[in-house]
Amino acid sequence: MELVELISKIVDISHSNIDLDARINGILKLIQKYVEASDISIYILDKDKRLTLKYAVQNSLVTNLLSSYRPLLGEGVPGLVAQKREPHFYSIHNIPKRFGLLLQTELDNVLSNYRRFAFLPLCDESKCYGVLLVFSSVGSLFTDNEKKLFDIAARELTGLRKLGELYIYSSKRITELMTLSEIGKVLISSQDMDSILKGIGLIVAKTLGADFARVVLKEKNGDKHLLSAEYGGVSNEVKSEIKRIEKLVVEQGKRFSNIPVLENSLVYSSPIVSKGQVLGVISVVKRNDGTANSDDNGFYLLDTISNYLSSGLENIILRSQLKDIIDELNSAQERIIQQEKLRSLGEMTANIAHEIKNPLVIIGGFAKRLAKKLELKPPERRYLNIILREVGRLESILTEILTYAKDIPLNRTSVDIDEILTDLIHFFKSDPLWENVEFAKESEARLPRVFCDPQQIKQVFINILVNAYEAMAGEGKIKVRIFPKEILKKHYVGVAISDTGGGIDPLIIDNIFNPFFTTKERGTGLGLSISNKIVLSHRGKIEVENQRGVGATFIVYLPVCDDSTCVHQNDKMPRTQGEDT
Amino acid sequence: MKDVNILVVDDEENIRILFKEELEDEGYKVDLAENGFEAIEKVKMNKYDLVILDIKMPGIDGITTLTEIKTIKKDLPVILCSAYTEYKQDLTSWISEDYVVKSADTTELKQKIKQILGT
Ligand SMILES: Nc1ncnc2c1ncn2[C@@H]1O[C@H](COP(=O)(O)OP(=O)(O)OP(=O)(O)O)[C@@H](O)[C@H]1O
Ligand SMILES: [Mg+2]
Repeated sequence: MELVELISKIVDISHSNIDLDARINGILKLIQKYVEASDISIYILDKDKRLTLKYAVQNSLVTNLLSSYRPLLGEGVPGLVAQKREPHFYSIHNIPKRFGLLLQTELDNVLSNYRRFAFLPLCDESKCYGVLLVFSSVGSLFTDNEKKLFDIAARELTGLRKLGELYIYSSKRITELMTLSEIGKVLISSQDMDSILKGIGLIVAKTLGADFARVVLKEKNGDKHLLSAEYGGVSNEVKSEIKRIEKLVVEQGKRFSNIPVLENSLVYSSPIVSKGQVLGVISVVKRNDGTANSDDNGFYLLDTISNYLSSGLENIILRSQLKDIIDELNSAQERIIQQEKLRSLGEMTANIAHEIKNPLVIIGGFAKRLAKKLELKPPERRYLNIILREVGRLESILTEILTYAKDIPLNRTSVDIDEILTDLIHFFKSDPLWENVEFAKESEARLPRVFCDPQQIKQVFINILVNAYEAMAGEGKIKVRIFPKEILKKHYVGVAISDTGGGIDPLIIDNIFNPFFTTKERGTGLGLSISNKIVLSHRGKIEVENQRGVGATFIVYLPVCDDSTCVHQNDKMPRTQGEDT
Repeated sequence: MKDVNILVVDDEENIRILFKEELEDEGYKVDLAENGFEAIEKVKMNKYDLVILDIKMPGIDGITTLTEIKTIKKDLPVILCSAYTEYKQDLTSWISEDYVVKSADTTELKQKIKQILGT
C-alpha cells in the first residue's frame, strides 16, 4: 500500500462515526500492516500519572508483561516519552534493558525476537494522553516514510483520545444534569418530607451505582436528627461507621471521600450546607472494586447534589412545617365533627334511656316490695334476688348513659396534675385487688399547673388506669410519665400511662373512643368515650400508642393556663353562677 | 306522732303507686297528682309537708310546676325526682330543696325526706 493511500485511510477511519475504540484499533491494524510490526499497543496516561496498557492488536508475551506493570510518568522509556513528548526509536542494539522498567527478567529473553522499537508520544500542546508502541521483528531502522506515518497516526490517535475524554466529560455532565432534574422533581413534588428524602436517597444510589445511600436532616442548631431516609442495605457495623463519619462531616462542615470501611466498602459523605449552616448530610456506600480514585467514579456528583439540595431543602422544611399546621387544623375540624356526631348520638340515647328508666324503676320497685312483703323460701328468694340484681345493673348502665349524654359544666381551677396522679396511685395501691400491679411514676421537675376541672380530670385518669388494670388482668406494671410538651406553640402537660396488658388489637383501635364500644363482658364501653369528651372540652387531646404484644400507652395532653382564654373563663364562671342564685 | 303529708307528682301511674306504698310503709300520708296542673291545684287547696316532683311530664313540666309551687308556698320543700342525672348538678342549689335520681331502690329518696323534714 502506498503511504499516501494509507494516510488517507487512517484519516478516513479517524473521522468515521464508528465507536472510538474501534477507530483506534483500526488505525493500529493499518500501522501494523505497513511496518510489518508484530506488536503494536498504546499506553494511556491516567489521572494518577501512571501509564496503563490499554490497546493492543496482538496478544504477545511482551504485551502481557507490559500490561502487568504501570510505569510512572518519566519512568523508563515509555514514561520518558510521555514526559518529554518526544518520539524514541531504538534498534535491538541500543534498546535499554527491559525498557528501563521494573519488569520481569522473562522480558530479556523475548526482546531478542524484535529488531526495531518505536515509542511515540500521543500528545497535543496542552496534554499528553499516552504512548504508542510499535515493535517490529524485521528490518533494522525505521524509514523516513514510516516515521512520517507514525507522526500522522499519533496525531489522529491523540485526537481520538481527546474526543473520548470530552465524551466522558459530557456524559458525566449529562448524568449530573439528569440527576439534578430528577431530584428537582422530587423536591417540588407534594410529598411529605420523609418520602422526599427517600426519593433523593434512591436517585443518588441509582446514579452513583451505590449499594446504600442515606440522607439525614439535622435539627436547627442541634445535634439531633430531624429526619433520615435510607436506600439499600448495609450491615449494622457499616452503618455505625457511616454514622461516625456523618458526625465528623457535620462537625467539620466538609466532605469525606473514599473512607474505607468494613466489608471492602467505601464511604462518601458530603454535608448539605445552606447559608453557612450544616442542614444535613448525604452519604453513600459503594463496593470497593479497586478502581476507586478520587475522581473517576462519579462521586464528584455527591458534592453537586448536596449543593443543589441545600437550597431546595430549606423550602421543603418550611413547607413541611406548614403541612403540620394544616394537618393539625384538619384534625381539629375532624374532632369538631366527631363531637357533633357524639352530641346527637348522645341526645338520642339519652331519650331512649329516659324512656326505659321508668318501666325499670317500676319493675324493680315492685320486685323489691315483693321481697319485703313475702316470706319467701330459698329458691324463690334467689329468683327475686336475681331480678333485683339485674335491675340494679340496668339502672347503673342507664345512669352512666344519662350522665354521658349531657354536657357536664366545667368547674375549673388551677391544678397540679402530678398531685392528682400521686393521689390516685396511692389510692389504687391501697386496694388489695391491685396488689399485683406495680406502679412507676416519673415526672419532670417544674411542671406547669393546668387549668382544669380536677374532678373530671381525675375521672379520666381513673378510666385509663382501670382499663390498664383490666387489660393486664390485675397483674403487671403501670408506668406513669408526666412531662411538659409544646404542640404548635401551645403548652401542654402530657400524662402518659403505659401498661403491660398486651396492647390493643389494631382492628379495633379506631373504635375504642366510640361510645358503647367494648370488648369486655361487663363493660359499658363508655369509659374512653367519656374521658375523650372531658379532655376535648378542656381543649386537650388523648393519644394512643399501641405496642402489639407489649402494652398500650394512653397520653393525655392538657393545656397549660398561659393565655388569655383561661383568664377570660376564670372570671366569667363565678359571675354566671352569681346571677342564677 | 303528727301526720306528715307528702304529695307525689308523676305522670306514670305505677310510679305513683310504688312511691305511695313505699312511703306509706314508712308511716307517711301520701297524696297523688298525675300532672303539673293537678299538683298546683292540690298545693293551693291542701297543706303538705313535702312534694316529690317528677321533672319530665306532659303538659307543664316539673321545673315550671316547681316554680309555681314555690310562688304559692315559698317554704314548702320540694324534692325533684327524675331519671336524668344532669339536674343533680344544675339545679340542686337552685330552688328545689333536693334532687334524687329515680330508682327502684327508694332508700336514697327516703333518706332525703327524713333529712329535709328533720325526722
Ligand atoms: N389499656 C388497654 N389495653 C388494651 N385494650 C384497651 C385498653 N384500654 C381500652 N382498651 C380497649 O378499648 C375498649 C373500650 O374501652 P372503654 O374504657 O371505653 O370501655 P370498657 O373498658 O370496655 O368499658 P367501661 O370502661 O365502660 O367499663 C375496651 O373494651 C378495650 O377493648
Ligand atoms: Mg373502661
